[in-house]
Amino acid sequence: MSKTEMINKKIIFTGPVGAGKTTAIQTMSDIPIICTNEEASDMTKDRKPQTTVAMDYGRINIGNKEKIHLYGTPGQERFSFMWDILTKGALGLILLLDNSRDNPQQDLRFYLQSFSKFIQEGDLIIGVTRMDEQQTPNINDYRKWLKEFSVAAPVFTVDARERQDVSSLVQALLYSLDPGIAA
Amino acid sequence: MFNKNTDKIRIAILEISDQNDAILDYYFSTAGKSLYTLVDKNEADAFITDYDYPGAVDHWEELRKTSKNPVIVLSISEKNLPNSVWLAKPLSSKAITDAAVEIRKLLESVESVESVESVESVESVESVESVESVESVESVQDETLESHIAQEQVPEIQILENTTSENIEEESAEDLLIQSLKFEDESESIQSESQQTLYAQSSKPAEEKAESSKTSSIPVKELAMSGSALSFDFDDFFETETEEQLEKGGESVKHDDVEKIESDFDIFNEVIEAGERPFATTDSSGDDISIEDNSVADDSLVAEKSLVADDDLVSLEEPVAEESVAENPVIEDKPEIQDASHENIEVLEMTDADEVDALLASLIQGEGTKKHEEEFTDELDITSFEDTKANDIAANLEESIELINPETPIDEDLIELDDEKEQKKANQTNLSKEETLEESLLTVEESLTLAEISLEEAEVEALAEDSLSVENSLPIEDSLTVEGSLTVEGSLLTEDSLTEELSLSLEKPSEEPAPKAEKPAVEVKDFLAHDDSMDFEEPFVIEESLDAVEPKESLIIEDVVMQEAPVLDPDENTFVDTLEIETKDISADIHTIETETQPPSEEEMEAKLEEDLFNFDLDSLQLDESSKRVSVEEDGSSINLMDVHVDELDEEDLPDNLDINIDNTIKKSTAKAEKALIDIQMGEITDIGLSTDALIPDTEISSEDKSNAAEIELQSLLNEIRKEADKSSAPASSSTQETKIEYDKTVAEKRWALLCGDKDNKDSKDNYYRLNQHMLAVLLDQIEVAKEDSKKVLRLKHNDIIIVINAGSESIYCNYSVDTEEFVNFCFNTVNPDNFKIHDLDYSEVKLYQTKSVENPENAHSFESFIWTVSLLTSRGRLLEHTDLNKKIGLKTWPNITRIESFPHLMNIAAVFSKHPGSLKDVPQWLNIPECYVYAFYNAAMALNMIEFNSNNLKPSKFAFKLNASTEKKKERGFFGRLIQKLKS
Repeated sequence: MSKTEMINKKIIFTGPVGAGKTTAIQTMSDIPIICTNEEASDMTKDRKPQTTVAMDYGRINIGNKEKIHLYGTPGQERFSFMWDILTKGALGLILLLDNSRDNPQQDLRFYLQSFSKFIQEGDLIIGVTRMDEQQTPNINDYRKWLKEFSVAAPVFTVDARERQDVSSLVQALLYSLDPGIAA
Repeated sequence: MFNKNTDKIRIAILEISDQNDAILDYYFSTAGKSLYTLVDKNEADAFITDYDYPGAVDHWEELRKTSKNPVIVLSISEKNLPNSVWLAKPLSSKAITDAAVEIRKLLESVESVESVESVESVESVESVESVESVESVESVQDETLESHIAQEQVPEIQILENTTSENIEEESAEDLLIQSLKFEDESESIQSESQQTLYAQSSKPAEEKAESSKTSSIPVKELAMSGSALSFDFDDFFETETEEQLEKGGESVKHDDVEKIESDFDIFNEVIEAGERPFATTDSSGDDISIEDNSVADDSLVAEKSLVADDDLVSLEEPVAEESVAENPVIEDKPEIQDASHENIEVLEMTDADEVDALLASLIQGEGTKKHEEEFTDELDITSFEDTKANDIAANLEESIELINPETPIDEDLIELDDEKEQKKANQTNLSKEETLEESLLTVEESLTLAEISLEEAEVEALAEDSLSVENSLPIEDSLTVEGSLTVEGSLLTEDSLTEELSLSLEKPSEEPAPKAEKPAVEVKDFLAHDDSMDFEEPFVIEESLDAVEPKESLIIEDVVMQEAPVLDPDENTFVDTLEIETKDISADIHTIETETQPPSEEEMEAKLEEDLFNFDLDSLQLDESSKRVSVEEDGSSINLMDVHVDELDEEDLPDNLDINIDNTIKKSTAKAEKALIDIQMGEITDIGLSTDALIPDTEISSEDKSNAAEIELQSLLNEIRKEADKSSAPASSSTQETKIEYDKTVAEKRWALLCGDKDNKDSKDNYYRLNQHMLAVLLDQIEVAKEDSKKVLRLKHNDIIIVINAGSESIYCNYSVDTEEFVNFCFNTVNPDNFKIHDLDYSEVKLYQTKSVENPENAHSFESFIWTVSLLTSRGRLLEHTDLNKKIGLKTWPNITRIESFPHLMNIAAVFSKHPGSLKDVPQWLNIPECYVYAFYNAAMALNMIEFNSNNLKPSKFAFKLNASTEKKKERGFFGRLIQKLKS
């Protein structure tokens, strides 16, 4: 890498409303995150008062010029037009699923289908949040579903508020991209 | 005659569907074998028919005309048909079993009614017709004729009532019939009632069953037409037991037992014939007559089978104590049932048949009660009241003494009571413990008052825990002596219970909080001493510095004593004042007595001051500038432990310009000092945060400053901190941080060595292990066993290590932390699988372990995390026997890395096996990492069944893993590496 060369990569956080995307980005970001939150007006407000309408943005700085941009997609399906825009050129996708939602399996299927094109080319890491609140389905159920969907992706239990957990997601993504990374 | 206890129900299946027929066939050949016998229609006691079957209704009508036998009616909807038991479809084994009970009742009803025909006492044709009319009560249409016939047989029935039925009388159908005959006006309605009763019994068995035993027994008994005692059906009285036996599988009362009972009843009849009614009693209403068979020779039978027909069934199962019999002697003239029960109990205790007979005879003669009363009285062998009283008094006295001194009981011999009668009198009133204590205290008080109490000889301590102690110091005065040690809990003492002299002294110690051991100086010392991460050269510098102190403030203590001492007046308030002083002095932890009696030398006083200052709560040291007094208040109270005017101190002992609030300075400075220590420890300190203004000049401690112990203490503390801060300024700070990191690394590396083995040991001879020699094998086996039934919870126990496997929640609780040496060794060392005790937990035990899991979350694990850790600890970098190092393997799925124990290169290894299958030999080379980590991962993943061995399932990765990556790839790899470094930091 030349001294003048700047490396910028981006990682996408996606998932249903309330899964913890904004929180995860906030946990990892070196800068105050940029949110496009609006007051929730639909059933989303049952889960949280505000929701992301366009994207969340955070950044991990490595030195002066190297940066990893963290983007969070809006959780609501009606803002799905943003998803393709955001994922273009991304290193990988981190899918956060809320285990306390009514049908996590359906959420998983939906997001695998929605990002199928990206998943074919890039890497996917899945983090399941709120497993402490709702213990079923468990991590093995997610693995089984992934096998049914013919998708090979790591699934981890995470707390979006815990830096270590979110960091593990990012690290797993990076190692998946290149297992030969010398740490 | 059908015997419901012994005979099976002969049953015939009528119109019924093939499916139900098959069900019944199966039932009668298995579970119902002991209850039913499948017979031909002509031989049957009862029938089974399907009411929903085509033409069943017509068939039912026909059946009712030809047979009076009860019928089990199968139907989807409830059917209230007379003399039948409805069973809902689909059939169940339990329902058919339960139906047997009802069928037996119905059969009994039929038999009972039929038996009336042979009753000798009812000879008249009218009566037989009457009985028959009961039998066919549902078919009787002409109620008027029925009533007329019933009226005609009144005399016969009345005779029956006066003879046998009088003794067997109960709420039976006979009663109703008798009543109907007695009261002509009501005959129609009564008969209707009887008819309804019969109908209700035959058509609503389910309702009867739902009723209590008291009410459910009535309908059956209503039909027990009793002609004489000899034909009396005993089974009615054993209804409950018989039902229970039926439910247990049709076991009935042994025939021998029944014969025995009948034999016994013969004896009873003889008694009746003699014209006496030994135990038949009638309650006030006269409705119920209780018959208690006291003539039964076999007491064991009696114990089991009470022949009490009264609704208030007197339980004979639990014999009453003899004393209660004695206290409530049976009085013949008093026919209440409770008295009869006592008599009955008496008989129950007879073990010999002759004895029972003798008793019967004596009772007939009216002597039995008295005689037995006497016998019981003799047996009780009650001692005279006076003796009892004396014993009670002695016991109470002993108890009183124990109450006074629960810890050190006073020898009884040492207590001489001058008025023994008074003591006895006091004890007779059965005082409660508190009252007894009060009494005893008053006695002690009197003794104390009368005794010559010398202040010099008395040593009274108000103990810290609200207790008052008088130690072996009271002089003996003739007979009124209290000698020995006396200790009373302060909380038990009340002001009222003591003399005026004692009241004040008792109040203060209990109200004043005990001197606290928590002192800032000690805390700081402990903090330094217990902090392993700190590396002070002189961690106990404070202590050392104080060793050199020679405070002249011992004078203060002396003054305190001298000020207090003049107040003492042994002649007036000796006890009080002594206690008061003691209270204060104890609070200040100063030995007043010693000071008072023997003035200490200057060295001793200085030493004592030093000790006292250590014990002082530094937060409470006050200097009142206005009054120029130095005081020490006990924390949280207004008690002055020390209050000395500065003038009374040597002026040289005080700083020239003592213009600071010592108290506040100490507080602030100590807090800052502690914070600085923490900062140093954490390696985050750049500035110790103490302004020089707040600091006492860094000079050697002069003798002048020794007067202020708190100041000295603070001085030494802050000096120490500053020295440390100076040592670890900028470069030192970073070194501390590095030290901390190094320490953490060391701890982590030690753990990694336990999990993955020695990374530098590449050719160990112990590189293989046998799974079946380790706990892991047992664990994996039992998890599989538990998984077979998701509700199963198993407990593995090996010595004192317990592992609870909950398959439902896929969780494991272990009473040892996985970090403990015991657990690590347990996993690593070989064990004999036979030494494991495996137990299937019940609900309460499961709840217990669930509670423990919540209370000790560090001991609760998921299956995955626990197996992961155990397999790592087991293998410790070794491989399983016969592992093929060259076989390519892959990873089915990543482990849940956020919730398992981590070790170096974990993610690299997982990613490689996941993306690029390789052998155990390849991967360490590819990643250039110690092979022990790869082996460890392999072992743990294999224990979790995550390793893919099937080469057909090993797909090439999307991103080919290359040892020699391109330049671009290397750039990216470098970037990722830096990113990961950042993420890990």
